[in-house]
This record gives sequence, structure tokens and C-alpha cells, in this order.
Amino acid sequence: MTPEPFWQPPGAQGGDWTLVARNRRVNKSWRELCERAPADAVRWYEILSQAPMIKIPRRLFPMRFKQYKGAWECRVNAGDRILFVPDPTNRVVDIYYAGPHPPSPYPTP
Amino acid sequence: MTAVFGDRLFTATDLNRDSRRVLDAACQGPVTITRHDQHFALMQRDRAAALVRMQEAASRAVEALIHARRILRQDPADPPASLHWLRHADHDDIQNFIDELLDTFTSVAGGYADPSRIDDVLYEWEESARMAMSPEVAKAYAAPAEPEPLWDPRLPMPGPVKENESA
Repeated sequence: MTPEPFWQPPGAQGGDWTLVARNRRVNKSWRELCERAPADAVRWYEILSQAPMIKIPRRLFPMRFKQYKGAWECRVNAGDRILFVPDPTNRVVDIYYAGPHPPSPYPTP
Repeated sequence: MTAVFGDRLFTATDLNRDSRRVLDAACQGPVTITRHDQHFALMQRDRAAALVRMQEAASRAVEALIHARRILRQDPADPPASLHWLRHADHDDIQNFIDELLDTFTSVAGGYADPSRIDDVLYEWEESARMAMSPEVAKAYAAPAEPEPLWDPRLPMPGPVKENESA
């Protein structure tokens, strides 16, 4: 379900964001994601085109660690993620990762 | 946080003889029913559920804060699996985590945010940690930028993804 934000921060108004794959490899993995989960892919393509900087708890949120400051994460579904850097000035969403949820780096007890 | 019981007191006899009046009062807020030296709380079910949710969320927040502080103090005790990422975070990131969790807890305790916000914050930090420590993500982030329009999934699929597109 597309969220209905009651307030939008400056530079995050709906509509007309350009979604850009950082390189061909990202577009390839994005298309693979589209094949795995077509409905989820369309849904999130439309949300990111409209409002990539409106937080949706646990689904669309800014990444916390300072090494990725400014980057956002989108939980497409249980197994797939999109990572991107929004540029509100130029209204561009720079997608640098689209694919499977990376495995946990921590050892399982 | 305001006291749970403000407080209206009724006896068990009141409850037997005039339950409507007691229940009407309980609709306005929690009341206490006394019987000899025993005290019982009576409140609407929704309010009781909210109190339990608040208590559970607060427990999780405090547990996370305790472990974050232990890591900052270089305590060798391992945090639980859901917080193991703290071992791999640096001082600034842990401090930011503590600040955000405390701010969220303050909002929840003040009634300005739903208790689920605490779990949201914990989830988003754990998820971010997973990304921050992923070699795949680091490689993707550092890859040369040769931007091209993202393929629109509403268009017909142009055929199977070819291996040579990965170059």
C-alpha cells in the first residue's frame, strides 16, 4: 500500500524523481529482482519515483552508519533490498545496490 | 509519565451493588477496587494492552542501552544476537544509536509516539549495521559510476538477463 504522507519535507515532494542505476551491473541485478518479485518491484519503483525521502518505518529509511551517511535503504520484501542516495536538489535517486538481502556478517551462535 | 491510578477508590461491595457506576468510572481511567487489605486495578482492556506494550518496548530499549554502554566501556560480555552488531560499530555510531534510542524512548514515554517506534529504531539500526558490514554492499557503493536510467518494471521484460551485461 502506498503511504499517504501528511507532510513532506522540502525537496521531497511527490512526483518526478529520476531513478538512476549507478552502472550496468546495478541495472542487471535490478532486472533480476524484477523477475523474482514483479509486483514488489513495480510498487517500489513507483514509490521511489514519487517520494524517496518519506520515511516508512522498517521499509524505507535513512541508513544509520556514518560510512553510508546520506544513503537510504528500501526493504523491497523479505529477501531483497534497494540502497540508494537521493539528491533532492536534482531530484535524482542514485541506486547503487538492488538485489538480495546481504547475508548476516555475524556468526550464528 | 503520569501515575496510572489518579485515583478513584471503590470497595468490592460497591462493585457488587453498583457495578455500572464503577465500570463507568473505569471508562474514564483506571480505578482501584479494595477488599480488606487487597487492591485490584480495573481499567479498559485497550489501556491495559497499551501499558503492556509500553512496558515491553521499554524493556527492549533499556536492554539495548545497557549493552551499548557496556560496549563503549569495553566490557567483554557479548550482547545478545540481535545486538551483536554493536561489537562492530565504532564509538560515534554507538553514541548516535544511544541518542536516537533515548530520543525515541522519551517520545514514547511522553505519549507522543507509539511504542512500536522503539522496535522500528532497533530494527533499522540492525539492518543498517548488516549493510555497513557487507562486503557486497561496500563493493557496490565503491563501484565506478556510469549512470544509466533504471529499467522501468512496468514495461515488458526485454528478455532474459544476459550474463555479458554484468561487465
